[in-house]
Amino acid sequence: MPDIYGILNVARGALLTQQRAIDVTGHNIANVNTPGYSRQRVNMQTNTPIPFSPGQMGTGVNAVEIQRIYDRFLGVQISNENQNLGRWEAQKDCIEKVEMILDETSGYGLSQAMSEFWNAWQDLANNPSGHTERTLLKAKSEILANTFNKVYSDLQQIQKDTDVSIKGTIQEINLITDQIADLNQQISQIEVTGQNANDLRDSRDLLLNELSSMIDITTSEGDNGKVTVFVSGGRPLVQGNSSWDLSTETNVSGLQDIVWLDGSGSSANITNSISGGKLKGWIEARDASVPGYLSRLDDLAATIISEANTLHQGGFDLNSNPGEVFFTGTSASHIAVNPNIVNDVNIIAASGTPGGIPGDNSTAIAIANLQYALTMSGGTATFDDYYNSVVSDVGNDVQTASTYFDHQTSMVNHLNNYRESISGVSLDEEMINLIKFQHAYDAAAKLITTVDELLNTVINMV
Amino acid sequence: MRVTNRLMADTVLNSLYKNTQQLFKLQEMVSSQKRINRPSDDPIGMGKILDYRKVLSSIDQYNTNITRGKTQIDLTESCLEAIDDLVLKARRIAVEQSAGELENRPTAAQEVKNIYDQILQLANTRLGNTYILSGHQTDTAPFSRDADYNATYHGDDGDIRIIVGDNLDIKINVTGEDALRSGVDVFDALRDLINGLEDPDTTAGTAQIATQITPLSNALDQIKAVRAEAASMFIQLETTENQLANFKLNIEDRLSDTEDVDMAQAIVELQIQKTAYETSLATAAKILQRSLMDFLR
Repeated sequence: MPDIYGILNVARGALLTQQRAIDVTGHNIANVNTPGYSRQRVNMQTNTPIPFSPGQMGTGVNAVEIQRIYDRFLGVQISNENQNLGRWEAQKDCIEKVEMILDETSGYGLSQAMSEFWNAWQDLANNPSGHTERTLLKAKSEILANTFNKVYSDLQQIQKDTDVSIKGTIQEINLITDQIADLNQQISQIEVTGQNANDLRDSRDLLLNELSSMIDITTSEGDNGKVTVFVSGGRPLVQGNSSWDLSTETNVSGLQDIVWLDGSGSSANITNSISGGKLKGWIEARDASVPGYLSRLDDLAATIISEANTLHQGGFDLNSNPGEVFFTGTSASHIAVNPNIVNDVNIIAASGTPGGIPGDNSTAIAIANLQYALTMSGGTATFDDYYNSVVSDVGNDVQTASTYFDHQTSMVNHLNNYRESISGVSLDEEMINLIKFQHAYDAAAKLITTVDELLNTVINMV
Repeated sequence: MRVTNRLMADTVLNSLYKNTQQLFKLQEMVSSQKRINRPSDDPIGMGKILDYRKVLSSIDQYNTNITRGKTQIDLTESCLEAIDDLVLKARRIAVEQSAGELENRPTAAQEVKNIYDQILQLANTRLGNTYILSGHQTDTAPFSRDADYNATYHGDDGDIRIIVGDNLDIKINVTGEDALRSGVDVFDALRDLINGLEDPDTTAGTAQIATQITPLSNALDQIKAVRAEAASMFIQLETTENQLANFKLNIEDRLSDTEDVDMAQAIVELQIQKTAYETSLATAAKILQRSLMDFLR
């Protein structure tokens, strides 16, 4: 109202507004280190002017809304890149473990075991009837078989460890989706009344980010402020106020498959349609990379077993009996030295002619020469070539995953920096704002004092 | 671009991470003296390293095998040399006695009998547990005789072979059969010489003695031929040994080239990285500490 009391109103409006602004500045300062926080600011607007003389009289300031400063598109981008980051991080971790198991840089791995095995056959060829040489050969053969067994079972253990991680992540995902559904409800309730649910939206965005690093999701926000989250294959995880859970079930290989529960008892297996996030990385390593290495190890062991056995059975031992099988088993997990040989090294067949001829070492030489024979990869590679290529491939896979991981890390860092520059709190800025608003508050208070003196003058006029 | 405190802190942190990562890598290289500490450092290099190691291990084994071969051939040679001397002695006795001397026949006969037994013993030499002139029947003495000085060969004609290279094995033995029985039968010749010396009918005896001279001379040639065969085996082994020694040096060089770190270069890089790290730390300290609040009242 355009009189003295009007000025009082204007002053009161200014005081309150500046106080709000300081309030919000205080909130920003307090949350400078909160992850996912977007700075807020008060939007001030002039009140409706009143027509008067000499012209339109302004009626002061009003705090209209508290606005959250953020870039919606950036949120989607960060979510996408997070999925890839999670995937490559998980894959790299898994394959680095494989690299450690093969342990070739210290020189005590399968390569060394095979070398010593072939050398032991040559030692036997040098003295076919020698008991020491036979015992040594038996020992080296057992070491070879044990090394195969161990590497194989260690690789399988990686698969089992991955399952543990997958289970843990599924539980986290379920917790998060429940929370997002909760937040959906709260946010829509608040925004129906016309106010911005700034802090709740921040929390929801943070949860969505976390979710995106674990599994590939597509999000969309409805008009009612509720976010819908879809997972691979178009299945909803969060819709409106409800959330769906994921679970695991054991598949035919004894490993965990990921299933989506529809809430009414049935489930859908989504393992193969997951395309991002840590779950994808673990599944890829567990179901594609590691089984690849396992089957190559199996091939190697099976060929060594069959080639050695064929030659050994064509030879004759010290009792002039034909040789038995040298190795039992058909795969890397079960290769073992024939227990009869373990008990009696005299039945190792070094000789090539029947009749118990102790000096004939032709079978021993033939078996020792297997190391140069092109027995693998359809007759194009020796045992060592084949194994070396497995080691190289593991090294390559780690390098690839590391390169992708590094690339993704810098992408995500860059995007995060960009987001921080838009939505982050700068203490310097807040300090200056504080000074601004405080001065305005002081000035408004001074206005009130002035009006008070005016009133005093008027009253004491009479 | 609007730069907030958090942005600066994060950026500083990230560059510190990068620096320490590099530092760690270099430090690992320097302390392990290897450029390749895991297959992913250089997959192709890793493959080569495994290859070289395998070759070196094979070469060591070949050297062991060659030593075994050389030992056997050495022993064979010294046996055959001794047998050679004994046969020469027997031949000399035959020559002397065939000229008609009659008084020392019994002594001569005894000498030849001793020679016979000595040759038998030499032929039955063992290397460790194995008889070296028996072919494949290494646990059976190659020769034995009966009371009438008839010798029997119990060995066979098998080759004892050792591996000296990729798919390469060579023979390292000679058989008693080849040295002493095929062609000229040394034992039979000596037996006949003994019989001739002990023949009460001196004329027939002298004649018999005389007929043993040529076989014994031929026996010397035969033994020499076998010794030459053994010698050529030995030379082959030695040549291979020398080749392997050179090859080994070569491979060790290449292994070192691929696997070892150039210490000077690595240490220089380590210093540079350390300086970079310290610089970022110092810069961080200067930037992160200041804010507007230090200047307001």
